[in-house]
Amino acid sequence: MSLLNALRAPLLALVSCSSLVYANLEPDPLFIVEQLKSRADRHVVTVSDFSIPAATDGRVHIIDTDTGDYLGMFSTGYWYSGVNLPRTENILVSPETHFSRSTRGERIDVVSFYDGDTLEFQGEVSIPPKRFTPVKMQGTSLITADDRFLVVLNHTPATSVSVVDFVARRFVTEIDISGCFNIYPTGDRSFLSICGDGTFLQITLDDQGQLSSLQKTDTLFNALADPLSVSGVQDGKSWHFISQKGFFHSFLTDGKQLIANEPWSLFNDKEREEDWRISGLQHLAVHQQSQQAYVLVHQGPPESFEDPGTHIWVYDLASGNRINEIELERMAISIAVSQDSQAQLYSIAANFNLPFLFQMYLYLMEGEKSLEKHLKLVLDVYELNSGEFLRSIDEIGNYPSYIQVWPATVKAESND
Amino acid sequence: MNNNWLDLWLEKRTRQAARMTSRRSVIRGIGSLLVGAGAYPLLPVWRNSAQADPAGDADPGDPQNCDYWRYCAIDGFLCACCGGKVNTCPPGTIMSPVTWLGTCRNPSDGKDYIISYNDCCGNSPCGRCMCNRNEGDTPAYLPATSNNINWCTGSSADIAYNCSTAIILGIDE
Repeated sequence: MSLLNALRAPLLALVSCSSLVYANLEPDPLFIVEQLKSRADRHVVTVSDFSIPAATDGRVHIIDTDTGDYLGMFSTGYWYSGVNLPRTENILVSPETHFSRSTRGERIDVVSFYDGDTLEFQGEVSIPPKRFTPVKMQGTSLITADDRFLVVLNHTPATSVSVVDFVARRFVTEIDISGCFNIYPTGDRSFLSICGDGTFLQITLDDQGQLSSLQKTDTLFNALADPLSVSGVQDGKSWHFISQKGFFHSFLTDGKQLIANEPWSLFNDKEREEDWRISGLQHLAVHQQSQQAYVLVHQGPPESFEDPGTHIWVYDLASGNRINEIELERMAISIAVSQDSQAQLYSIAANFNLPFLFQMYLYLMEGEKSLEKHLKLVLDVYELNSGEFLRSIDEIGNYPSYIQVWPATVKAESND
Repeated sequence: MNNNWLDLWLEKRTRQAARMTSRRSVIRGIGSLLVGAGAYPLLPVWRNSAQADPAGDADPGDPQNCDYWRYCAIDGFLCACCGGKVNTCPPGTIMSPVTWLGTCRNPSDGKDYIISYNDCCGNSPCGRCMCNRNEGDTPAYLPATSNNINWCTGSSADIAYNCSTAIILGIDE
């Protein structure tokens, strides 16, 4: 009996077993499209991406930061500057610019509405073709506190705002805000605009969205000596800003008056001597429950205030004392925090997708420029209290820069 | 330096590696990389980046390099890398009439020059030679010195941004 004959029986048995284990797959159903799951008890963020240098391809990315799953995206046109997330309706509201011929032809500015479950386009409202197109997205559009009006900042280079009633889904009016720029919501019918002379405009709308009052504050900061960054953060009735030279400014609003608190320094004398300063584009976040502020910082010369940050310094808002610091896994340009008790910290970080030794080789042999070509921006997730690094999500578009936490929709309060 | 963050990043990575090995071995490793660099055929790249100034002694530096003195307050793609020159736009674009200003010191004569960073408009962003330096940069609400604004706004090509020039307007007296 040859060896082959001896092995034939067990080989046949093995083959027949294999066919039993790997039964034929059933045909898949066609045309199934996923929907987003409820955001209740989950951490979900949107990341707005102006997609430079492919500026016609703006995007909003939606990411589950508990699992690291990329949930979906939608396209938002030319030189995007950020999505708006209503509190009481499960939609995403997106001021957009589109050209009829890619980068030429008729310019059409719209406010588009996307379903919060399916991400399907629901409809749009035309607005004047004047939408502001900056690098820093914060303060370029807002939703009033009662989820009734959307306000979009315009720049032609004269400045104005367009008001959209997004319940009735119609354009209402344009309001001139000459000398002032970025806008921040303060109440059901009111918002602020920051001005080049160190004042704020306080703008109030009536119930139809028309201008009700426009009032300028006294000078509240020194715009020429130490301008405030436009990366402001709302905290109840306060708005917090940090200045280019590292001072923390808070403004309390009651809808009628704006009261400036005494600014305090983020850095002591020694830290200033060591060149610690603010970093990146979206560099301030506040966890409201714990009343702690998170500031993205690094060491560098004065003109490096937009360079990526290496650390996040944590401050107690009541005392202004620094109470903690988080050394980031990767240097970051933007940060945000969620507001729940199991809060997370997010950063858009610079990742060189190469082995470290190869990175060193490129840096030493070809200089830093060659290394920069391998830089990709990723979303890093940390546990807020401990600063422990949890996970990273890569391949999120071309130039993601603005993180917004997207909590579950809450029921609208009754107007009765 | 505007690119100081890269040095910081390398420092951080070195620290991270040091946690896994010993600090001394990392220093030795970096040292051996430096010593070994001379053996690699890529050295001409270094020489290229250190080549003599093509613009002459009065206007020193390479307009295709972000370190060029006129770019002290720029944020954008360098037109000199995109088919234009330091003070001209690439074919198929137009120059924006409204822009932002910087004040940059010419290392050759030690004088401060007012630089106008007119954007070139009408195509997609060029995508070459991104350069972000922020000397004197201000927020958008101080627009005359703000590089965070798409300054193609208001041009006849509208907001289609391609690249940024750096044009001498005069000496800051």
